[in-house]
Amino acid sequence: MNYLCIYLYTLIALTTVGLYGILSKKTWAKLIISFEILSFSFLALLSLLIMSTTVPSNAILGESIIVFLILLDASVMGVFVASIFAVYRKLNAEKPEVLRKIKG
Amino acid sequence: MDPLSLMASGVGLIYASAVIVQVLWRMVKDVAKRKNVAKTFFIGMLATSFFLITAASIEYIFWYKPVSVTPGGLFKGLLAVDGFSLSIGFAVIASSLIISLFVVAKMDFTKTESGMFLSVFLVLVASALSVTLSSNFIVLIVFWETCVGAALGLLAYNMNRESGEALMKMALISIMSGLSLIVGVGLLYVSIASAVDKPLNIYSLNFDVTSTLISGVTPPLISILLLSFAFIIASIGMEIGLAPFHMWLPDVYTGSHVPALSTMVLTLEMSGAYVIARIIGIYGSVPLKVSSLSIPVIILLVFAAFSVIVGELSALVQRRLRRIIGYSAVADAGYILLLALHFLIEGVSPVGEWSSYALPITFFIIASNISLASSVALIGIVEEKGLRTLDDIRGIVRESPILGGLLTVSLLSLFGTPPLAGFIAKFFVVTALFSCLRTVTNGIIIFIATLVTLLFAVSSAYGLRIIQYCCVMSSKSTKRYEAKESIFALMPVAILVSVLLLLGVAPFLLTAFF
Repeated sequence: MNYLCIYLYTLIALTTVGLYGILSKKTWAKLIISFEILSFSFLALLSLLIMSTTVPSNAILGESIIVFLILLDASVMGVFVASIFAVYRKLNAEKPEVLRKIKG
Repeated sequence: MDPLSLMASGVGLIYASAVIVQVLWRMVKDVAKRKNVAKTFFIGMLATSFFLITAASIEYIFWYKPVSVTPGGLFKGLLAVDGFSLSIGFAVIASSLIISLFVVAKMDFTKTESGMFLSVFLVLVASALSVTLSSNFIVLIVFWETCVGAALGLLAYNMNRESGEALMKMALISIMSGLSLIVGVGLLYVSIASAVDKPLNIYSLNFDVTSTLISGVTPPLISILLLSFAFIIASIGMEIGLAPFHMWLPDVYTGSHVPALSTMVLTLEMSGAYVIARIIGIYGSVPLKVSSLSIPVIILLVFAAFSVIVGELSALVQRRLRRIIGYSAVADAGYILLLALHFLIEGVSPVGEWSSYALPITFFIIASNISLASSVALIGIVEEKGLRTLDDIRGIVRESPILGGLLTVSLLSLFGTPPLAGFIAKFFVVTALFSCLRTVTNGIIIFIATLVTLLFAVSSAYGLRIIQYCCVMSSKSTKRYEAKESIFALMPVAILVSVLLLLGVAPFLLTAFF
């Protein structure tokens, strides 16, 4: 098994853990951590794929774009955390399950 | 100044106003003075920006049409205006200006957070306009995420149990959508960068350049390209409520604070529909065909048909007014996708001189979002009287003729009744589908067109049921509604409803942009 395979298997394991965390939705903290794990496993996979480019400067530009996307992802996560704080402070909703009042 | 500079000035002015409103709010402590200062400045700046964008539109129509106007130098191709982007931009600013009057009429100026609400409102409008200006994937992501963040900020205002739940549902879907968009754009870059032998730069992600580069992608990289397409469409689809990512949308329509929801529909949803149409056009040149339809078209057809069926049939069985509108919005997302099929089948990106292809989808986006926003605003006013379900609104036209009449007209447009804008919009859906048959003769398209026509009958059924409850049935309750509505709250909605009537009888007004 070479290093590339280990890297790929780790990414697959991280993606699985992230997806499980999101679907189980136990607490807000676990939800945020799961989202972060999922997003960084995807971004790591992208940075691996970018290495397949034939022109070296394209790989460098690609890595710069990945860094930019990481920053963007962090700011999106910031808005999400702010929303959780707002809901927690006003409604005292400790867990995601509390918010299931709207019915069709 | 060219149209792009005028529009960019308008957008910059709104961003600056968001900061100034916040400063004024903190400086003026007296509630009465604060109310007057904030109202005057807030509406004044939006009106100034509206005039700038109107001037940009007029200049474009008379001197630049149909080419795309883009800046030179450092910003080369990162921003651009053409008929499609200007018409949506004009609709966003005009409808936001109108709905801002409704927002101000409904706002409680004694609350400290109201100042923040006004600032976030301005950021949302400016971001939605910036999205229509974007002509590069990276620029688009930045403005789109700002737009989504601002929409979440609006929903956080005046929170109660239901609106808190709506906020969290939207926040969850937004983070999934943001992640999907980031991965989609990353995969798009990977497929392009692996396919070309020359150095790329940031301008290679400009829409027109990307469209050309995509046509050179060969197997096996096409799989990555198609994956990027699926991620990007899923991302924007989540935000506009495309099935199977639609579950959150009816809940947000049901739980949210009404002024925030109306604003979100006229900004985030309108610009989201624009983005989906723009991006789908870029993928028109993917060189892979399956039985005369390319794979993106088939993906799109499945998503669109599912959305329309789920939206229309679910709306049919709802009793709560806001949920009916919510499911109608899901169906509208499906219709928008069906209209975008036009670009994929013809292999045309609606940019610059080809932007006339975008006329049907532009009309649909404007008509459906104005109908949705005005219906939501009117239902919000109705709910203040404690009327929430179909049974509650029996005979409302007799009790409150102006409110009931406006609600009836707005809903009639939403369900596609002539002579209102909604009818022309739905007519465009069917004609666009049949016009696809000139290029590709395929049974799937004929089947979808027939299905859509049948579902128009379903939407008319639940639309007419609401009208029956409003106008024909008599009220069960002996309690009389308040005869006088607040004129300041009703007037902006009445203007929106009259726009629907105007576009219905004179749809050619919009063709001036193309």
